[in-house]
Amino acid sequence: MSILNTNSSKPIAGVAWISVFSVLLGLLASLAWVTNTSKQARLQALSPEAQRRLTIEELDTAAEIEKQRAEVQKLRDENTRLQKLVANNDSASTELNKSLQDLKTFAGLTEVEGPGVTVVLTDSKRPLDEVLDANENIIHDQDVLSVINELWNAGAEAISINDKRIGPGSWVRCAGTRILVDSVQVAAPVVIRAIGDSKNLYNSMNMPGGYLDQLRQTDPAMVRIEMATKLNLPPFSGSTAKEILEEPKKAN
Amino acid sequence: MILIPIFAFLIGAAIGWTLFQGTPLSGIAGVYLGIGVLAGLDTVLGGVKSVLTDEFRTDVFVTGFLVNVLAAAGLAWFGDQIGVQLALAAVVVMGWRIFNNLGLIRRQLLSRFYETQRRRRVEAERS
Repeated sequence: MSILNTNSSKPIAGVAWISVFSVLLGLLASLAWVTNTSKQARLQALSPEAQRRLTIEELDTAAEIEKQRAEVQKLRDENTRLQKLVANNDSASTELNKSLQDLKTFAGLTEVEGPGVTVVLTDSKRPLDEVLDANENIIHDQDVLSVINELWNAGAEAISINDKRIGPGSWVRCAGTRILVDSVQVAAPVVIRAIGDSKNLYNSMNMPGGYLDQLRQTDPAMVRIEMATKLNLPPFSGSTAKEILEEPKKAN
Repeated sequence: MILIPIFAFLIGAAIGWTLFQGTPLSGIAGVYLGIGVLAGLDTVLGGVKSVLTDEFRTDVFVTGFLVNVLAAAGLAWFGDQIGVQLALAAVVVMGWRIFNNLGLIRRQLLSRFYETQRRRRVEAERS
């Protein structure tokens, strides 16, 4: 008190006015606060740096996602077991179940194994003064995406990235400095495994002028391709929920 | 006494939080408001400083607060319309002024503290 009350009533009026506007300021600040609910809507409008800061927290929920996925997998396995059990009753349902299981394999919902190739993408360890652009040293989401694309093109029948199976609707993109595959963080080295004709896949991946060839021109150590006689890929564990699409009704 | 504006700020935040809980402004308006808040913070600190240096004028403070908040948010909006990051200019200038004002407030409080101590010592010697 004594600090401010040295003379006149002026300081008191000043403090009163300042306080009034402080209330207003606090109110505005609480409105401007970036919360979970307003984050999504505001992310686009924020600077890239701020976006990165705000999404890091989101990425820390990766462990939670992982847990949920394990749960989903358990339930799907149970579902398969029950379908088979029902199918044991008569031949019609056995047939139905067979086609159902085929479809599930096609959709990537089952564990599969077979020959194929393993592609490992690693960040380059070249010293920074040797490169024009430090960005070139790093494996990007685009690199992963292009490799998957070329693998499908070369006849791959199932693909996984760092033991995450690629299913229908799987996506690869970046969030800040990380690569996300179906919302799960993937860090270099990125191990891409594909089941298919291993010789075909191997040759296509080594094709001159192909995507990996371009990557190798930056630094040969960034790409490693190996044939494998037997690969085991886990089932797709992401969401299969459909909210919009419907079966068209056919008039008989 | 110096703590009153801080409490007032917290009260305001609490009111805003309870009234608009979970629905703070979304989209680009929230960003402009954030810049406005920065300008408001600058004005309030400037006000505190002027109280300490006995230069406080209510009219200057009130108009300053309103005009600064609106101008900062408005400039940020205008900048986005013409593709120039004017918001950055507002953030830099406001940030600089906030630190400046904080420094002046700290100096004022320190020198007042030493002044009262000195006066007390003089009075003790006199008696």
